[in-house]
Amino acid sequence: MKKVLMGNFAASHGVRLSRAQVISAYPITPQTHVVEELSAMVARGELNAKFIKVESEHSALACCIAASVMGARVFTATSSHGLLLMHELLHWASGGRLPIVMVAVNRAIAPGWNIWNEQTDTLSQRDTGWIQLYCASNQEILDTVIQAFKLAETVKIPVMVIYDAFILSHTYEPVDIPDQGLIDTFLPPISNPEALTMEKAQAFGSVTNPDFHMEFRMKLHETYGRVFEEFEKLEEEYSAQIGRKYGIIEPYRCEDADLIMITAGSLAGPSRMVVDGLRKKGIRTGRIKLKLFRPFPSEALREALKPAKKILVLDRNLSPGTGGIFAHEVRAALKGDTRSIWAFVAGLGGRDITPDLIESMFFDALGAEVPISETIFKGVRL
Amino acid sequence: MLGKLIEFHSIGELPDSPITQGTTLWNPTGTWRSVRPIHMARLSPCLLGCPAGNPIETFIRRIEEGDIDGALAVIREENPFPGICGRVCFHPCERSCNRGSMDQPVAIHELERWVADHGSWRPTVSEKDKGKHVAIVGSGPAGLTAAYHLRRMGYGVTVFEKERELGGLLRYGIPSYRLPKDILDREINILREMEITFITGKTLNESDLDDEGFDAVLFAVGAQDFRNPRLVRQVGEGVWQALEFLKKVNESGITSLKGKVVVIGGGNAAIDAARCALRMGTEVTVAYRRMREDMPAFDDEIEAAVEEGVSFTFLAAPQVVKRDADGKVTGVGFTRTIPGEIDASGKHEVTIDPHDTFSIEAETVILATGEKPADLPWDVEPKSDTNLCETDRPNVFVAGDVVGTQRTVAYAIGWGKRAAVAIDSYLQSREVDFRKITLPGGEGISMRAYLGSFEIPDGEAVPFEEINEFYFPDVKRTKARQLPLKQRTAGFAEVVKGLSRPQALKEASRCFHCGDCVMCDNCLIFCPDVAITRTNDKEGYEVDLDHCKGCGICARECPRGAIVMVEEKI
Repeated sequence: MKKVLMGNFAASHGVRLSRAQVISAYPITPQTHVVEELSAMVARGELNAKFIKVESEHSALACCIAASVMGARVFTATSSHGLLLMHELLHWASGGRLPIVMVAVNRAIAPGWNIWNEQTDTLSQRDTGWIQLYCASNQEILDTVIQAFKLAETVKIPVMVIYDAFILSHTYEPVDIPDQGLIDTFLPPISNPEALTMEKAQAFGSVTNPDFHMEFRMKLHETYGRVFEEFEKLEEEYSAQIGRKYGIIEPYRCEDADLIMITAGSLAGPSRMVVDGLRKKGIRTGRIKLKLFRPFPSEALREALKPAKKILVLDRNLSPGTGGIFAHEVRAALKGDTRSIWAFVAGLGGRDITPDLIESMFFDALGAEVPISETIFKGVRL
Repeated sequence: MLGKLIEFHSIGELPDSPITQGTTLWNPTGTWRSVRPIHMARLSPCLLGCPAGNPIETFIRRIEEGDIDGALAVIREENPFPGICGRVCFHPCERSCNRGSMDQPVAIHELERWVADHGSWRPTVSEKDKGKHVAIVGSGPAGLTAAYHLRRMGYGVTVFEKERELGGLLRYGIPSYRLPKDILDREINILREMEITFITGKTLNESDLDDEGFDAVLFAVGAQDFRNPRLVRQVGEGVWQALEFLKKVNESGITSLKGKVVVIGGGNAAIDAARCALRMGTEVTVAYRRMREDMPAFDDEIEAAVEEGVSFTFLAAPQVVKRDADGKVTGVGFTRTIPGEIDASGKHEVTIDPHDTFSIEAETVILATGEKPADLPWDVEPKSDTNLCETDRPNVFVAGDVVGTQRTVAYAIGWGKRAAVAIDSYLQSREVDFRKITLPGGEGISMRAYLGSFEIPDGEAVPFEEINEFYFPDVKRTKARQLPLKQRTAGFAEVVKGLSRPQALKEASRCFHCGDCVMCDNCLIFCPDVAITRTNDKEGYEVDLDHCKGCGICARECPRGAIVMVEEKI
């Protein structure tokens, strides 16, 4: 069934189809609709879940952690400062190996107070041990939420499903809502034999002395290595039933491209348009959309970037003093590579990134052998 | 200890995250502690606020437990007259009640009255006869309280009352719409049941002392002398002294008055006289020489008088009672006063403006300008520290309004208790340290502390800041039902009707129980180290000091300040 949905509602439908059992969240613009709609679904009886109201994001994730320890399928959603307030508990969830799924809507961080789109909030949580999946359309949001539950429960690592404030969260697009029966086949009820029950007394997250703490961390790290293949596997399964597939990265016209731009989120759309336009002018360009950011798909990227002479990275985020965070990760992945990397930072705090601006980045890279600086700010007013 | 040792041979064997099915008892986190929590019985401010030393918080707790007799017993260990106090006391306890800082104080006086009206506990008398006999002169609240406590200790007690009936001010001073005579009789009868001898219509002569075989005498003769000598000359036809007037009314000697009445004064006697006169169908004006805020009368009483229709004139200094040629009273001449600074007594100083005079018409004038104690009989002289109740004669004691300046029933009861202690220690030739039985910062003493069944906690009362308001939901103070206004002024029926059982239980539930553990289990629930458990007898808590880190969460979450964090001594 197709419906015209805003990105936030697409997420709600994904959670409903996944039959989440416990939802706890605290409202924050631009995430509010997601849980507002879910609470309505619970109230209307469309979703058999416990909806827990709390007084802060910190408590929201604490509730999710407790419910997940009890073996429930658990969901929360937040954004920006709400996500930052969860920071401590993000570690508790991943270290506890709890398959919680969270929607995080990318919004800028204050000061100055700003509710608009920027990816720094989720990217600054990159070391918390959560899997991060970035979406480029409302359809992708719905599909990714469902897949996230399966992925989280397979590898026992929590997953963030991430998309851009307003550009996706508040924008309506036609979205196909799969049949519940198909999703039930794809995503069976959660099972966790180690879950806490009233019959079996256990303590979780107890004191771990130096003699074992490191081994637990190693185990989490090693499990991360399985994420690529598990994700690919479940995507195969999903596309076989539902007919849609996204990939951990999505290369577009890269096979013979001299210039390849890497970006993530909703920028995937306009950058593809620009590639098509430049191709018409005879400039061989391509672009790669990053979907999976944690773990970082270094190998897939290296493969897809093979034809490129120059590599462009478009970041809608900033690690002050370092530059764009995607660029930083790409540089690490291409260690030893001699090709020049053009690291663009644009659109912070919700400023528009127009196709013309993206095109000018390709011309910047065409016009010089090496970038004029390590980080190039684009679309700056002063 | 560590329990079973599990060996892991590979990362794969390791669980995904640290899980234990054992306990954390092996980890003695108590070594981290620098402060420790102590469950303490601390003082609640109401107790210190009561001149009669009523164990208020404790009796409210008994009410909450549904133990009305227990509540009555607790009160009567200290105060024989809860039915009287619950009605006429100006309840200073409620002013010190911590709940007043959150919404309104607990209606303590209503609860005390409810316990007295519904409980049936009777005091016991010590089985061991002390073999000595005490005479008490005066049967007001001070004398009766002393009689009660001395009798309980096992002394023979004889009370002399010069009037025909017992009660002193309680019977002759307080109108029955505030304190019905049957309630007074009910509480005095409890003393009769204890085999206290009462002799009415008679006083004790010095010459009789040895003949009668009394080992000690207490004078609790009150204060009935008229204080304003200039006006006293005007007493006569149509002009009453307030206490005389009230006595007549209480003896049903006057049942009707005519026309307009002017009451002069601002104390409780003035208000009592005014409300009595109103009930006889007169128009009443109270004239006071200072301001409304300066009136010594209890606020509740003033408000009730206003409600019932008593008029007030302030800044009016009486000069002369006016009479016509036949000597019939026609009114009172006043001079206006001008308020100045607030003086040492907390009232506005006033100066008379002799040029500004006015009159108020009246057929009857009641002078309520205060009373003072008469000279003590037998030329007895009180010692300079009157609180000890001693005089220049070792076997003669004084208590109550005759020496005190705070002339209220609650203070009189406090006096009676001190006198009982003073007489007991004299007759047993024992030194008594009043400091040890006096409630700190308060006025009252604790009879239970004197008799050894109670230890007054050290330190100050729990301040409001230590109350965790979060645990106390909004519940409005219960107001007792009152007689409809029209019925009130039509006679002398009791105005306040008292609480119903549901009202009393609801009102009791508003009590914070400042500083007194009620076993709510909050400390136990919140302790992150599970280091607090109930004791075996389930009457308190034990802190497992091997594991208590001293984090203080228990003290923070204690609703009532009953846990104190004390620094560890090194």
